[in-house]
Amino acid sequence: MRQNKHIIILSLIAIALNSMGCRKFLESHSENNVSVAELFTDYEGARTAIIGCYNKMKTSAYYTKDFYAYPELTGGNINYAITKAPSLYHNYSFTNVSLSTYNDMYNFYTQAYSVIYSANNVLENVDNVTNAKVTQLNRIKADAYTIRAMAHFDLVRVFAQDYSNSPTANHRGIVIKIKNTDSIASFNTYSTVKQVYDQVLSDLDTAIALYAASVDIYPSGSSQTWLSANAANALKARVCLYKGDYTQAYNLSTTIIKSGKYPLLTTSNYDASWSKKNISSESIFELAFGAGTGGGYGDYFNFTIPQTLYAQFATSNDLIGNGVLFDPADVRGHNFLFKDTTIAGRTYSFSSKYFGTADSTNNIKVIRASELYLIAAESAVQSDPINGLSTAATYLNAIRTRANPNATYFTAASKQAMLDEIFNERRRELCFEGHLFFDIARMHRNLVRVDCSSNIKGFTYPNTLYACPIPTLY
Amino acid sequence: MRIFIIVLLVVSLQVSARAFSQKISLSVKDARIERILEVIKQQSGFLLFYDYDLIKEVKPLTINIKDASVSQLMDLIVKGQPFEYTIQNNTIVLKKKPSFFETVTTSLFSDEIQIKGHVYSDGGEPLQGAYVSVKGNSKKIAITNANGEFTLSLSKQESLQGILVFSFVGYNKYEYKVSGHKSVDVTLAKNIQSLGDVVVTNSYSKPKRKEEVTGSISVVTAKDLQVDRPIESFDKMLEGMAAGVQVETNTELGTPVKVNIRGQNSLTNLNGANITTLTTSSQPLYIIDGVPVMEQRRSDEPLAFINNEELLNPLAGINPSDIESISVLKDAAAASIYGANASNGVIIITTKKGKSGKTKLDIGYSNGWAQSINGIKWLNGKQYHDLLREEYVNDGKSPADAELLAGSSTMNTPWFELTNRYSTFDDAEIEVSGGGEATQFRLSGSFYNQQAIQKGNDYQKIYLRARIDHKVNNQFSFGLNLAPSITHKHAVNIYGVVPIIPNVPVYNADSTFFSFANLGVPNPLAVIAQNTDYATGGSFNANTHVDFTPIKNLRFSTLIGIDALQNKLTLFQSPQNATGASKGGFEQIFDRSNFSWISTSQANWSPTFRQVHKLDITVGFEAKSEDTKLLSGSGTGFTYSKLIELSTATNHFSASSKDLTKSYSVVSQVLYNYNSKYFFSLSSRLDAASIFGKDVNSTVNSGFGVGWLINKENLFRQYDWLDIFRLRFSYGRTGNSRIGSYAARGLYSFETQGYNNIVSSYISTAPNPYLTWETGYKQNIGIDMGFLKRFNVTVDIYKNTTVNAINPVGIPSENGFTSILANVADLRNKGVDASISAQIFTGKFRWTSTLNIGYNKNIVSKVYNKSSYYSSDPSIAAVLKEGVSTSAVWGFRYAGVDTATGYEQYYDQSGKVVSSKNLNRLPSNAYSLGDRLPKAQGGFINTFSYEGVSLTVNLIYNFGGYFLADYNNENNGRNLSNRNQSVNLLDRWTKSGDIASIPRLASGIYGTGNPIVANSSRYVYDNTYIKLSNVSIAYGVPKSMMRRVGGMTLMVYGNITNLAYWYKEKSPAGRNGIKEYRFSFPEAQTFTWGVKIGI
Repeated sequence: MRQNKHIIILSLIAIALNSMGCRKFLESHSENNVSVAELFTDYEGARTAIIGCYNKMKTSAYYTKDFYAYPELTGGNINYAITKAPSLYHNYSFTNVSLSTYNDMYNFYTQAYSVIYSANNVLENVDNVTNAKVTQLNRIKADAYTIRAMAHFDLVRVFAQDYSNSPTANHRGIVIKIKNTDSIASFNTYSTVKQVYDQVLSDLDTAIALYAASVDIYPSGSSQTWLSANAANALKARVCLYKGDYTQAYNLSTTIIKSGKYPLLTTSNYDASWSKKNISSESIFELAFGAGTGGGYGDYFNFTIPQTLYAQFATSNDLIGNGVLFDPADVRGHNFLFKDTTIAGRTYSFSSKYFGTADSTNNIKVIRASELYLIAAESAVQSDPINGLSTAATYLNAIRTRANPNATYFTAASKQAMLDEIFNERRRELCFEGHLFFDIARMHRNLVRVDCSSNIKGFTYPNTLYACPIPTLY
Repeated sequence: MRIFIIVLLVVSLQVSARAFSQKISLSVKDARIERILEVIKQQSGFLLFYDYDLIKEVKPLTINIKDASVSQLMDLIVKGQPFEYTIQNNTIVLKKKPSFFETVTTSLFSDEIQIKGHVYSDGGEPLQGAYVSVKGNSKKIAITNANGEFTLSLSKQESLQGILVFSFVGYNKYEYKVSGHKSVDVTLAKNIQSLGDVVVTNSYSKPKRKEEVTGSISVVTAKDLQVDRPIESFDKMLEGMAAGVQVETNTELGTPVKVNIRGQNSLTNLNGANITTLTTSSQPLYIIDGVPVMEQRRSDEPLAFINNEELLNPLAGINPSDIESISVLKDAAAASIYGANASNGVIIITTKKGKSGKTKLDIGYSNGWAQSINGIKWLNGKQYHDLLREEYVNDGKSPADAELLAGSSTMNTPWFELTNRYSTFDDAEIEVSGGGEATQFRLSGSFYNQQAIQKGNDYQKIYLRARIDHKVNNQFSFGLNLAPSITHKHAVNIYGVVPIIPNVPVYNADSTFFSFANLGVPNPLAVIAQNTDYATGGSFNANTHVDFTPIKNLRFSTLIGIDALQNKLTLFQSPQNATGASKGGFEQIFDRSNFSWISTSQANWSPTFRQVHKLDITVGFEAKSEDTKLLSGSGTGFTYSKLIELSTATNHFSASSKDLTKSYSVVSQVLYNYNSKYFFSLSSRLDAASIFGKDVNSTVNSGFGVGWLINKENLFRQYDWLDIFRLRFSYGRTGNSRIGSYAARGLYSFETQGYNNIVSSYISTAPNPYLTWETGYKQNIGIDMGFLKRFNVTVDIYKNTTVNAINPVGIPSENGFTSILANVADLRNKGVDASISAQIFTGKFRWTSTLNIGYNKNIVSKVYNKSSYYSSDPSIAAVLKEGVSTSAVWGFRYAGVDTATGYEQYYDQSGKVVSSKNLNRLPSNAYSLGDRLPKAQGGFINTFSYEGVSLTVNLIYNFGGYFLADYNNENNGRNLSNRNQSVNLLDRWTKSGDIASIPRLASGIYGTGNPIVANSSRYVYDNTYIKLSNVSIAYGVPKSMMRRVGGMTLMVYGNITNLAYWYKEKSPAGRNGIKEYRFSFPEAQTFTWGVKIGI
């Protein structure tokens, strides 16, 4: 019996020794996932995270569909070609309920905050990187600040009333997130619209300063598909226009125009710039879609796919019908940038701006020089209603005659007439690019939709419906 | 006076394989004779038969003997006693000494007649050591040899009028009238329960005798499993076979089913099946011959694989015919030895091994066909057209427009019939086994071929298994078990669950496939003809073990096992139909390689002190590694339809992934029993795993159990009819570690394509530094009773509490995530499982019956932050709320159709009837519409046999579960324009005053209809049913007839599965109800015949 005991004790010791060697045995991990701390130990890891922020903006809830199509649908550029489960229908028909199950912009809301979270995560961790130059880290930070500003700005445009809805813009805005919280119980408070704009402009200014002390860090892709100091300035011009800071908007937009880096497309190459993955010469920032990227914005305009479910964003007659908005010779008009097809006995017209299937999804043109011309025109007449009229006409007609060389030179006798024409020109030039409804709200215009399948065809300014309700869970 | 042979104590097969010392030393003072006999049995390894009545009067003995032979010792014991002993075939039999008269009569009729025969088990195996005696003559005894043969000399009178009594441990006694026969073959039926049965309790220690088991374990033997049924994997076969084990069956071939042991011990994932936010697994741990079965997909795989790859059921890697027994470990005493993975119970599968004796060859073949039952009745072409037209009119279209939009009123394409068939089934099996004293082997092979009812879907499987067990000497033995298998599976998705509208044609005029322009679904017949979905996989399970027994009672053993799976899946969506048209054809190839190994080493010491203190200590160490390597490629743009390879695609994409996790564990188990009457067990396990990254996290779980064999108390010894009366109690802790890597720390994952071709990463899991492991506490009280060797009752009452249950909880979206994994709640399962078995008739006509009952109640007992979280997604429709079951259907109470307007109505919180438009669908306004899991469920298995014919009838029942049917089937016509709907739609509201069950038809898109309330009590059905799940009839050709062909055995059988259903909630005449809606693709009813030959 004693001998037995020895054997047992020995074997227990053997097992114990075995266990001690186990710590090393357990050092293995998945290659698919990396913890936050591990990712930000080196420059390459940090760079994957900032590139991930670009990708997050490409999701269907953001620039690939929901956010981009929202102002076009609500503003009246799009009517549906299908009757089954159209995308964003609740928002189109203004059956605005905050519950996420009814609010089609819920996904955009969560996705935009997810972008902000990702950008914050980069900003909060990037200083842990040890093997990068300061100029490289500055570039990562500058992009993160710009992306964070864009997401806040896009959110405040959708979910709050426009800046001048109240005299001091102290009406309800959105939640500002400039720091990530790790507690699940953390609740957030809404800031005023002014606070949101201030934060957006502050982020853009920080970014612009950082870009000045940075180097290029991305080894591939056109520089126009990466954010830059010019992109930050162009976005800032847009923010200033929305804010009513017309002097800044004018200065920023004209500075970029005059730099000559982003020349306007010519009449003859205008259409071609909208096909395939061509980078437009006038783009200041495009979101790049590589080969084989599925679920593109173009699917919603593509009637050649047998599953016509995708070809649902037909052009409304308010935009294309009767030749009211477009001159027949306009290169942006029905004869050039639109394609007709018959679905269930009715002829629909689809924009070919983003027309494409999964494998040829076009880049999303987030901001381009034509918009800056129109910003310059609008801010010129807004900041000086008398003397600004001719400056405004210069910029407006640059766009107008580029589209149709035979067009007459537009002049207006009043600020309002000029603004009305600028609004129409924006609608012609920037349709399907995520502007219309925001322009209507910003310019305090009434919503007028004639070719519209919703019960609510329009309303007058001011109206609570100009702000999409903030989605709440369930 | 008759001799009753009571078999009280028998050693297990494993014990007999041990090193026996033929020399016995014994030193006892005033010891009871049973205890002395027990010692002899253990030391000699001999079998022992005696009648308790014989020895009950024997006074305590004092014996002091060293290195004696068995017979020397026996001589000493029987000296002066009223009984004598014989030793034959390593079996000791005690019998009454013949009286003088008996001696004389025997000698008078000395011209004796020899009778020969065989004794078989009801499984057809020869029984060695069976006891054959002549009724009324205690001297005439024979014991069968290894081939089950015996020879007995009978007197003339006995030969004519005598009765032979056959008995064997664990089998029912059988009496046979000799009537002059000179040869006799007898088949003995197994006892309902015998204490001699051994139970596999875990993979670390030897099987234990039933009386030693303190935990709650349901055992399903090979025979119980009824492997002749045409069911492709054992997990599906378990339905109704074990008390407290619920199998949520499905109708898809080759896919895993959900198995709930004592209810659901983890929370329902409120994020649904989205694997990127996986919570803990709610499935049991499966162990095959000591090797855990790796889950085919773990949570860390990249999206490219998660979104598109289809998986095979890893449990289908084992041929059900190779299974010897399945042990389901249900409580803490049984399962806590598996520690951090045991929360949902453990299922241990032991495969068959060879037996020494004559080499046996068994060949089997079966064949059958299947048809669908209880399919949903859809609208025909005319009905569909009429309803669609009515809907358009309701929507405000002119009757002329509506008529035009509603399509053909005459065409009727029966899509279901066109895409389904009578399917066939084949299975061929071969098995060779045998061996000698030192080496036993078993080889088996099988080919299984099953078509699904759905065209384009079939499943082939080749299994091979080779097992060798060898005893080198008294110290060393080893075994090797190799089991490769090959799977082929076609699973073309023909969109059978999306009912296609009936008034469109299959073909165009030019006999090309018609394409449905507006439906968003492809033509299913085009898909069958043009698409490919083909999986071919190989799995290899192997293990080898070495046992070393340096001295008696001490054993060291090591097991090394591997589980490897290689699967290649090829998917092709043709450009000729809608599935691949937008991409010019789309081919995807997934190559998955899973490899895991496990190594366990343990020491086992099982001494006995003073003959009554029996100790059994096991200490073991286990290391495990799981490795997954994935590769996928896809291509689009195929220009030449005859050559579909990625190399001919215009665009190519590829992805790959590697994942390795390792863990180690230390296991220990202490068993103690006093005088085989009081039993105690304690087991614990330490688990450490790499799944938390560099912070190696470890946890210790343990459980204990006590058992009391009351019938061994003197008070109960007088009750002959009481075979077993036992009480058990257990308590312990288990864990659930299957939550994926680094879940607490926040994770970045990498995107498949990046941005501008540069790798990008995104934060995929929100960090939660407060996340800890889910823990289960299990309590169990059990009673086992056996009467008259024919009736057996086991009842277990349990309470399982899961604390720190993990679930994704909603967080304010502004925080960057909509949900986060957190420890959010405690939940509790309370219930009773019971199993009652009876041998109602045991004579020539036999009737054996087993009833299993599992009653369970689940409740979320505590939600930590007091908030409730809810999902209205119709596929989830569940809530996390205190006092509500986690498996409850959470939704709104339907108040019928408004007779004035035809709109759907609901009860709001105050009980007021409101239209669905005005229903505030906040979770606080919703209710539990019934628990999905049944109150009680189980099986009722009956076997009847007479002569060579046996009939088995399986009934499965389910009481009180609720089922949420797919709302799309009768969705107010909302989807009518693009899919067919249930015939129930014919009962819709049409005009004011109608009392209708279906609201007014409206397309709903432009705000004229009501919002969809998918989680409505309107779609909830009572899932109470009784199912005649299997009937099989078998005929074994009598052995006497088969003797002419060399002693072969021959059995033919027929089998019908899913024969009939009885549902409590009836479907209205000509309409659909629970019976039809329960499976979106109908169940199959299979008819099989087969033959088995044994040589």
